[in-house]
Amino acid sequence: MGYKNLIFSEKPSTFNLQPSALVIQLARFGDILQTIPLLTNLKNRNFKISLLIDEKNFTLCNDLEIIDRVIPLKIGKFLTFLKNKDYKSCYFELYEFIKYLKNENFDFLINLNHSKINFIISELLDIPEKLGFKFSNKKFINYLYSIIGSNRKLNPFNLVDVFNYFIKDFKVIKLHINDKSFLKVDELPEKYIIIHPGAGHLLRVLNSEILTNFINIFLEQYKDFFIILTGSENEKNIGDGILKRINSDKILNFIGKTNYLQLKYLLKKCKLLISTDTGIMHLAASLNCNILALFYASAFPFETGPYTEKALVVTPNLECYPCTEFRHCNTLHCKELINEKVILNCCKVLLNNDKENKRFKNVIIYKPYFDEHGIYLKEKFGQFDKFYNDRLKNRIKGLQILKNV
Amino acid sequence: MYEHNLKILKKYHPDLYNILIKDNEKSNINVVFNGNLLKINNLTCFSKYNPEKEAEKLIHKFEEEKSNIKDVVVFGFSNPFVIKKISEKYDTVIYIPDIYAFEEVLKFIDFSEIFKNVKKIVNNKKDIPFKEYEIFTLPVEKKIYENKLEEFYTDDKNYLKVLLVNPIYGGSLPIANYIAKNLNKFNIKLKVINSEIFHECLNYIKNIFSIKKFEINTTNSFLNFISDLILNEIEEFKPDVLFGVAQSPISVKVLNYCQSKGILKIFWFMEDYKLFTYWKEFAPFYDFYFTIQKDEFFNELKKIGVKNYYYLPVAAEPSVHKPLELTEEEKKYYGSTISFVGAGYYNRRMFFRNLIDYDFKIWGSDWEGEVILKDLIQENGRRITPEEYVKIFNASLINLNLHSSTYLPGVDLNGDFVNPRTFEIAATNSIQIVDRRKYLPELFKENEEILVFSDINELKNIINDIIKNPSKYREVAERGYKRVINEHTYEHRIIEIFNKIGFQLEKPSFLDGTPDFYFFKFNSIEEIADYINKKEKINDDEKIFLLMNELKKMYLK
Repeated sequence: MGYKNLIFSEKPSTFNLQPSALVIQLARFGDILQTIPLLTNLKNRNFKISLLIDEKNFTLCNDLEIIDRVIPLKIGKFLTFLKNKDYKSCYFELYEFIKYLKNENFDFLINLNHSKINFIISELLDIPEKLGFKFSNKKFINYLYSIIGSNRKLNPFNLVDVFNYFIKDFKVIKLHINDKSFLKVDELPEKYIIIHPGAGHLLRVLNSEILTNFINIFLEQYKDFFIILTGSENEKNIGDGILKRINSDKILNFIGKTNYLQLKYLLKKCKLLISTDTGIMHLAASLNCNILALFYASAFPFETGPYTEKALVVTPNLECYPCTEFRHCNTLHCKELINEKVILNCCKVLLNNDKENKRFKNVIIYKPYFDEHGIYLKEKFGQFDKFYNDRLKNRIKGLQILKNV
Repeated sequence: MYEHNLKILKKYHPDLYNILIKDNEKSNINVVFNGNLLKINNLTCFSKYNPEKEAEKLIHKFEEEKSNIKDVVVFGFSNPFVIKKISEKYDTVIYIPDIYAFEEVLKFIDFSEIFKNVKKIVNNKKDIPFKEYEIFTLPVEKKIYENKLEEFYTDDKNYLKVLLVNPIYGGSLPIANYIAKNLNKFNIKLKVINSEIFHECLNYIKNIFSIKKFEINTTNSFLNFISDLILNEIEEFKPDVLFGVAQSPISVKVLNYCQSKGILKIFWFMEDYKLFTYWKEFAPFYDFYFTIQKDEFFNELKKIGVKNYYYLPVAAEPSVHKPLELTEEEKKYYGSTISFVGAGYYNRRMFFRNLIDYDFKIWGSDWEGEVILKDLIQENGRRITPEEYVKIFNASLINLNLHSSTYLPGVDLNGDFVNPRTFEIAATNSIQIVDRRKYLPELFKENEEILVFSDINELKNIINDIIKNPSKYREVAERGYKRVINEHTYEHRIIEIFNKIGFQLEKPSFLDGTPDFYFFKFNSIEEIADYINKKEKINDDEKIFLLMNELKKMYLK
């Protein structure tokens, strides 16, 4: 008897037809927000979405309505075992975790981090179709790496779009998160801007002297405005440093005092956020806030700039920019270039719609815009970016490779 | 379909047929079929599109992992395509883990060809006719019948489940860790309750109350909480043996529960029974009580109704206490003519005053307030880790070992038990001088395998002689080292304990690539990853080890 002709009797089917996708995003807060358009694309195709994340980001992910299930990787627990050299417990915990993932029988896996941890987890799961880093659009990803490897300045692709390129027929979708869930913060002033001086890496923390100068001028020129400082618990010293220099009751120091839902409330009500490349910048983008993004040191806006048109992005125009997080820099000249005058000028554009055409030496100001392939940046004032054309060529070539795939 | 299957089954495998036609107990397994797709507990059993190709792939993977396959036992029945292909290539037996679910599958799928091809179909491992065989576990069964699979792989349950309760604090804690390490070498399934995590809480309770009765109440409540945690573990893990050591927080409530469940209770009391007297309350509840003292202590235990008590001295752990190659810097930092590692007990403070003219370094904690020896105490008397004191033993010319006493000014001439340090120094192949103890001669030959003293004059004579002629004494250390390795390791002690309770410990031969192989063979995750990375093919267990290594590299830099 041929087994292709196995005879089956009939029984009513109770199968669940909704396809399920496991998305692995183990990076930071901001990276998760940058994943939203991809998740929305999946959701629009009726996928049941499970998101595997670092447990630290659980609160944020629970707030994202498009995710059906958040699966936290309990990294802290594994690290405790590893610290204590309790390899057996660590192994069995991970074994159980992988078993749990296997039993979910996902139809698709999308890996969003270029990390060995993600690769191994992906390898361990017998999921019929795997996408994302290491698995899909290899030609395009190789092309992307060839650009980053040879001259990072010439990389034209925003990470949000790269994530989208992993799936077929993606649509450009703006960042958006649920703005109904928040925790109200009482006695807020009517008009305020938020300054978020800290950053994930020390190189990218805002220059406190420039910041102090800016605050002084801003409060003088915008008499009805307040300034709110935000940041995490371990950035408290930054806020204390600023308040030591400026004695004003118009500065409200919220550093280390807000949780995620309160932060959403603050952003919702603010007139403008000034930040470097941080998670809060992406959060502000997803809440449709005005953003002044200051990119220097290792942060490069063509890669991780705010995914919104309601922003201005400032970068230094220096040979050494962008550098890497691992590089030691004695001068940090890039930080000094983006001084209080530049910041104030951009504030005026964003707050007053000021169209004054000001130029600053060795500084480039970009305006983000969307096209059918995602987000891109054009210069707001002047034409200083000598890599602009080469970068654009790379974008066209990359998109062609993608199309042929 | 079912009738057709039964007819063929009866002809070729009447034994299983007879089992099948009985009214078998219904399992909670859900079998669904929708025309071309079989699902068991919502798991797809074979590919909807090309099940034959899928079967070939699975078999190819199996063949890659195994070598010289002769006979195969297929664990499960969910994928007829795989079973058929395997039975065409090898002598095959099908093991049915769940008769009810198998019956359900037979209602939908024609197994007649398979029944004709396979050698036997069994639902008891004992009925497998092969002497040696490879097990092919079908993917769905691997997920659903995990426990049965584990039992299947484990030969006739030739193992014991042991629950080890670590002490909350003290010198018995590292010993408990050595016990765990050695238990893992044998056919023991071990679970450890890490009670040491509560030490800080108990200290906090001790310090926060100003009125004693509240402190006592809270301490008792906290100990009750720990008891409940242990009971929870017992219910969940279902051990055959509960194993405690000195300072393990095992309450009478826990011991009574174990008694009611037939769980064997073992305790190793590695303290001086005259100083720590709580044994009186607990020892009668244990089935086996091991001690580091005998004679009078045995009389006391007998008096309170303890039946099975045995003398069991402490030992050394050669994976930790071992000869080391030190760098010049380490030799300089940790080395001296004489060294002592230990806490600042009264007799040590008094006795060591006689040695201040020597190049003498004192390491260890609890030396607060010491004036005369102040300059000899290293690093302000901080606690020294085992890794560090092994370096000290290796770097010093003479390692002094003086058993502690809280009231005598020097050597306790009536001291009987032998402390862990004696074995630990000997295991590093270093020269040791230890104070005479009643039970020492039965463990080491005095002055042949270990140097001993009874008073300061005797000690000084030996020290001076060693300084003049160290090579002569290196030979003593060498003999002492051999004695420890051959007779006084925690592995030897564990074997002795389990011999006494009537269980034969065996070292399983771990197959390369299995988790136990890695736990047993390597000391660090980096070593494991290095080993795995050199392999051409790796399995899923090995991928998990690589994942552990990557987590460590990324987050614990």
